[in-house]
Amino acid sequence: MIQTTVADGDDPRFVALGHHFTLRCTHAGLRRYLLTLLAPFASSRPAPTHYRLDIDPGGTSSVWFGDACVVRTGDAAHAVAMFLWHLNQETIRVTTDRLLLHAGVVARDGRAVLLPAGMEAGKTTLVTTLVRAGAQYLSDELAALDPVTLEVAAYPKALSLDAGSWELFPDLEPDVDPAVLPLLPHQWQVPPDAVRAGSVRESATPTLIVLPRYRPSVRTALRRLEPVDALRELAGCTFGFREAPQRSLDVLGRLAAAVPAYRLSVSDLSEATDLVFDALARGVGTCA
Amino acid sequence: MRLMTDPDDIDLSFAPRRARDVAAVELERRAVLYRSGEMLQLDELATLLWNCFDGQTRLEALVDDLVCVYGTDRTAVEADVVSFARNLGHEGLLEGVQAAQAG
Repeated sequence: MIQTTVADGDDPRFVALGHHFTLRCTHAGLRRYLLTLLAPFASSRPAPTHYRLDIDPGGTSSVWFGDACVVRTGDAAHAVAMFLWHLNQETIRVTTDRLLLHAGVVARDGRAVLLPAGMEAGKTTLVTTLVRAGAQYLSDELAALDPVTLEVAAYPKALSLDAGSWELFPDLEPDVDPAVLPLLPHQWQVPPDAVRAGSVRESATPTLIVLPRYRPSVRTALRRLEPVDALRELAGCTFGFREAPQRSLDVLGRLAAAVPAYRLSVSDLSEATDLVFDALARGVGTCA
Repeated sequence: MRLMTDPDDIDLSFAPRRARDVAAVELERRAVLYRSGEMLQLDELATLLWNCFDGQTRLEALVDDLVCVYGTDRTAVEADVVSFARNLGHEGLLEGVQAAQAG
């Protein structure tokens, strides 16, 4: 799985859902680091789009996507952050054959738990905890649903841990060349294999929907949602919903009808993990 | 220029039609409607009516059916059905009916 294919001109190729791209980076240490992050996307297929990172730690750095300049800045770490942001946005933009939800996704034995939530809800922290506890990793950012089968495909990007979660996972601090450290974005980017080796799974069947919300002053608890309430929540997490509402509702309606949904208030991650795994063992969605 | 119906002018002779830009899905016999950033959830009876809004069937015919099936007071059913259609009209969910101005 963790294998990089070298393309013409030594530019490695990757595929993230519908986004096929190559990467060229002028900074050797940063290039090695990025190849580690992107390893789950390594591909041998031709890539029609190309990123180029011209990194000068003491001067101006720029990120190019084809002929378009994504950013030109005196802050190399900002350039790297913009590259990762652009990669994510472009993946969302070009992946038109699937319905994309803003959601973490983990699985057990091929049975997926979708964790839809907006920013700052604690998705990545919960996903990291679940993967450490044995869950398979599909994404901390996107649930990519097949509109016919509802099967969810992996988008196994590096997990983006905010500073607020660092003390929970001190061993996941990026172990990089000191020369590269100043070039890294403020978020920790953690390869899934660093969370748990061999944790990435390519696809899974939605079996449980859990809407997490970090609420430090509230007891950790799961509360069952009516399908129609789950549908409204899922709609709010769907990329491009306003542009294609009927297509989105058709898929989300089937998902909400077939898969039990819960709201999860999280104050204790260990309890939250037990609750999710128990619900996954109990709840049998009918997508399969 | 096509004349738009004022929602408050809707009466039993009106034959409502679902607006084309409304996205809808049914879940457990309840419709969820979406238009212009707003989502609306209907109960079972409202969903039944919504599905009959084909631009051909007048409200009075739907009232006839409801009274026949449920055996309820006709006056109350007429008021409820007209009120429901007017509300949908205000929300911009009916073809040819002027939605209320936002804000």
